[in-house]
Amino acid sequence: MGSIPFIAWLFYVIIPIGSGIVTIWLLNRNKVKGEDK
Amino acid sequence: MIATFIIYLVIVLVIGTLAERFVSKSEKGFYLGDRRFGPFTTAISAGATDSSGWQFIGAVGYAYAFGISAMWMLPGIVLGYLFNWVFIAPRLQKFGIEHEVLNLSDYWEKRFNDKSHLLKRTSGVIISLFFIAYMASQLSAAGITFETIFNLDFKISILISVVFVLSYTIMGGYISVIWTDFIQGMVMLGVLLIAPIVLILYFWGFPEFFQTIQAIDPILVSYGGGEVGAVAFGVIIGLFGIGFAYPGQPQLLQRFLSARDEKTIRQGTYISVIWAVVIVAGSNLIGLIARILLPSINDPEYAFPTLAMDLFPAVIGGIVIAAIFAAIQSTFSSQLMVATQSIATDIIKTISKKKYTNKQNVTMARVIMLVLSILATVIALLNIETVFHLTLYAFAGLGASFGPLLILSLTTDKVTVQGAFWGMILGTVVTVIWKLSPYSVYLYEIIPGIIFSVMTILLVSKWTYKKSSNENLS
Repeated sequence: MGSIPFIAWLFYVIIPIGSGIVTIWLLNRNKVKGEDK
Repeated sequence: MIATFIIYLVIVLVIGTLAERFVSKSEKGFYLGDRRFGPFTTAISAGATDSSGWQFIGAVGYAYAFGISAMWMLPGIVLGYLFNWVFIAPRLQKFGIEHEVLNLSDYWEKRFNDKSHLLKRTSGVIISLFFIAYMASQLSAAGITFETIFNLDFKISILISVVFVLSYTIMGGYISVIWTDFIQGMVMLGVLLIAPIVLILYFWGFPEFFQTIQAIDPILVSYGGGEVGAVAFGVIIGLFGIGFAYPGQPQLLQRFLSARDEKTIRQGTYISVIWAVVIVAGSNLIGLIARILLPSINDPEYAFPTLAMDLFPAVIGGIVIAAIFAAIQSTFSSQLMVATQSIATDIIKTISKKKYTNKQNVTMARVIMLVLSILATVIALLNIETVFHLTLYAFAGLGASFGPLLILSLTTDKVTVQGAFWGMILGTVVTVIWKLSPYSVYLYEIIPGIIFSVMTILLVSKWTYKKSSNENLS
């Protein structure tokens, strides 16, 4: 798989997975904040 | 191919026209579908509205010409979506229910306690102006699609499209827009998820696919789309900057106002981020695939329709065309709805003192829809701008005029009516001037638009802020 250029990994794999992680983190953070209130 | 496409059109038309039976015959029913949409309908219809003909025609064409670097828009769009869904949506939805807010202009009036209707009217005018350009871009995209597929004249294609969308929107109002958006969204999602993967695996396999792309032109796998230095930086910031426009898009904010409850917003966030990734990556890959398989297209914006025509079996080709048309329709119908509401409730009804019955309100909305559609059709027929740039221009105008004000209105009580008014005006004016200037090639007009809007809101509010009057507001 080494022949796939890094730019493709970056945009089609790393950023989408990163987006998912950030979404989960943000929503959980909000939920905890809401419960604290 | 034509049969599949027509079946799709009939399904949309039937659902669109039946939808009106399910809401009350009031303004709230016509404009907000009685505020009862759940996470799937809210998120998919917001996504379908956002991912317009621009995604299938404009963005595919851009990827065809400039390659993977067009994907810089993905992190920008995801951040824009997240900001909208996580920060703005819960606050706006809550305020909307508490204060019976009908649309964005109504929000300004109630948030800033503006009895003069200044903000409502200004916002209504800005929405109408940019939305006519936005709607025209969708009709151009429809023209390109029909011209390619059915060998119809570009102008006739535009006329057919506008008559079709108008027919169900005018009947059912907002609920038919949401329901048809949902079906259209599912068709779009399916096509952009499956088509690129199947095509790449069928013809090459992933490593060979990217090697072939690189062999055709190394620019296609470069980070700056072939540009270097400051220009490359400008291109990247410009693509990334598309995300900055999201907080100011009235057609998307309307979805938050019509959402049922907070849970809807939470679940909708996940769905919309998945949506963004699939749609942006899918359309980019389609552009690259078209670059290999159809190396000699004159206009890259014809890439996807041509691919569907030349490459797919007839039934699948019909579904692909349905998806492209779905993207165009869903955006056009939502914009038509929002612009109509702006003119009817933000402008006409704040000027005329007359009391309107529910029936008169709905009739007025239908007449406005017709007039707006005619104006958008005229601009589309003039065919002066590419779909890609016309859409981005309207998107930037709305983003710069409303985005900064919306964010500030949700975070501070120090913004005054005057600050809000001049912020909207400067956001609009700077976007238009920058677009007309030679600098627009280097930097997307939304960036200076937002900067000027924020500075104006803060400075004018500081000058005009009176503590006592704003304490009541908070």
